[in-house]
Amino acid sequence: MSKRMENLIRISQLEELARRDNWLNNIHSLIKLIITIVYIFLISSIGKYELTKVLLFMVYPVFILTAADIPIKTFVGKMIIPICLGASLGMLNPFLDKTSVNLFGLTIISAGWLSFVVLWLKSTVCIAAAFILVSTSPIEQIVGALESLKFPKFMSIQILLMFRYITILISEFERALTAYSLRTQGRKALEWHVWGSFMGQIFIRTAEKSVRLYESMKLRGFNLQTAFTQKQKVKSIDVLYMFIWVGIFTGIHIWI
Amino acid sequence: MHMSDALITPIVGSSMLASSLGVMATATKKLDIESMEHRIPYMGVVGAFVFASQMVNFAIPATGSSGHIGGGMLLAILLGPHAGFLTMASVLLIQALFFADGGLLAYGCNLFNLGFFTCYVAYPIIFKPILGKVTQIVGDKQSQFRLGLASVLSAVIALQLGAFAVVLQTVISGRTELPFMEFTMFMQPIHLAIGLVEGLVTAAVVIYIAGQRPDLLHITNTSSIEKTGPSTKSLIRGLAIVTIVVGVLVSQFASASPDGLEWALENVSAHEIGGGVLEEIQGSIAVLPDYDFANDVLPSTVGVGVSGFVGSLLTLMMVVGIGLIVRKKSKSQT
Repeated sequence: MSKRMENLIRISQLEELARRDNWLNNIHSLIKLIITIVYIFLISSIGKYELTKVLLFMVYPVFILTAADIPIKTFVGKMIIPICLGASLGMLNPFLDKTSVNLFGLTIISAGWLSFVVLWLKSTVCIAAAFILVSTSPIEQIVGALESLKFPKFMSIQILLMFRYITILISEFERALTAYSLRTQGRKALEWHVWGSFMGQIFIRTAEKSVRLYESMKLRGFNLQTAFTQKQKVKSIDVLYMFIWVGIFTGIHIWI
Repeated sequence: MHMSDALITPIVGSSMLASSLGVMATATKKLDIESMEHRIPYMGVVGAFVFASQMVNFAIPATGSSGHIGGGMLLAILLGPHAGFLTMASVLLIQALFFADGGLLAYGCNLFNLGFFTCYVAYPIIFKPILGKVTQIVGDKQSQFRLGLASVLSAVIALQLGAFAVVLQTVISGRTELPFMEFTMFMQPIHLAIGLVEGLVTAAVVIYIAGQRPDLLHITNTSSIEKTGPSTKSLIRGLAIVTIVVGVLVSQFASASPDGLEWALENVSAHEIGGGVLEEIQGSIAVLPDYDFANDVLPSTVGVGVSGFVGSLLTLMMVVGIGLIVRKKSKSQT
């Protein structure tokens, strides 16, 4: 299966998860966004060798994956490549940092390996936090949450349109590339003499599509001033949820 | 070149986020939102096009390998710097949320590295000057060459700047053990090759579009969605504020050491240079001698600040006065 089709499936799986009706999906998206930002912020401030802290911070994604019934197979499938890429961030650390450290007061290992593991885990949990956000909140609610943080309305509309059109354009590229591959005895990559015409033709069709899109939006009464994105009401349980998690994160950060 | 959250500290991430949001706010202000309603679907669709085109592999001749484009330069050329930057912001947000491509804390860094250098450095400083004053792009060889050269150079330089910014942000954060020089030597050549491929692909696409639909390029778009430049009043207001800040606050940090000429003369003549009678006269009539009050009524810092403010004001009055006199004289002569 091509990378494009894999990405299409990824988007639809995440959307499906986000539109389920469960207690976590019903929490206000702004609350989940704030928790995610605070989480990532605190994770990033963890020092190079603070393995205990990172392991304790993993309680958040582990709890959410279990409590919100997010399929582990889907989660692992989405995370494999980012996890592998995350490992490449600190892969030179063991060779550059050879000082010795005590781990849990007992074992002596190279500090480079410790910082490599810490960096890898930090990268993994940050990606996991973003994954949890988009698999528990539809894009419309996330954009609505951003708007309540003074994100410009026209940018919200643009992001939603872009998100919807990504699937259409990926399909269009897939069809065009399949046709190209069939005509060139199975070539997967575009040869240099067709770069311009291949991409240019799809772009011109895209531009003309956008004109028809705008006209159909206007016919349906679209107006930038009155256009709305999904807005939810913040409940007291949502605020309590936020304080609990922020309290846990802050406690781990300060006292461990 | 998408940075991960683990590579940066919260301070670096927050600072870059604040910078990128500042640029976003400026770009939003520069766009005439009322008249660009019809362009919002176009921006969204072009963003989706760039997003999808990142999944297309371009075979690199004679290497057996393939690459893909980032799309920042393409966005700037098609949409212009402001709309291009905002569209890039949307693309990166979706990539960070749905594809774990770049972190949320590193979002500001990624937007700055991939959006700012393409839209606000490469496009106005390299692309547009190479293309020259263009009102109509024709399909002749010279236009194609200039478009191609402008695209390639812009993409290469933008990616070099972006890659160097990644090095700086990572080294300042101190999250990896890679030393600065080695990291730079590693990143720059790789991104030179990437920039070259991106530039060539961008050139091919832009030349094709220029031949078929030149109206789709921002540089030929006569119906501008951007507001006209800053008014003279706001420019003067801005300069006045900067002058006051520099004259009153920044002047506090001025060095008290002798300047180069004084230092050189003192070292040559081996004693302090004096002006004799003229210096005595100057000292007696100066209102704020040596940028301070004559008697020590108030602290020196206040004296320096007041000197800066008064000096700037007097300079302004003198220049405006001379300008008015010159204008009056030239009007009376015509």
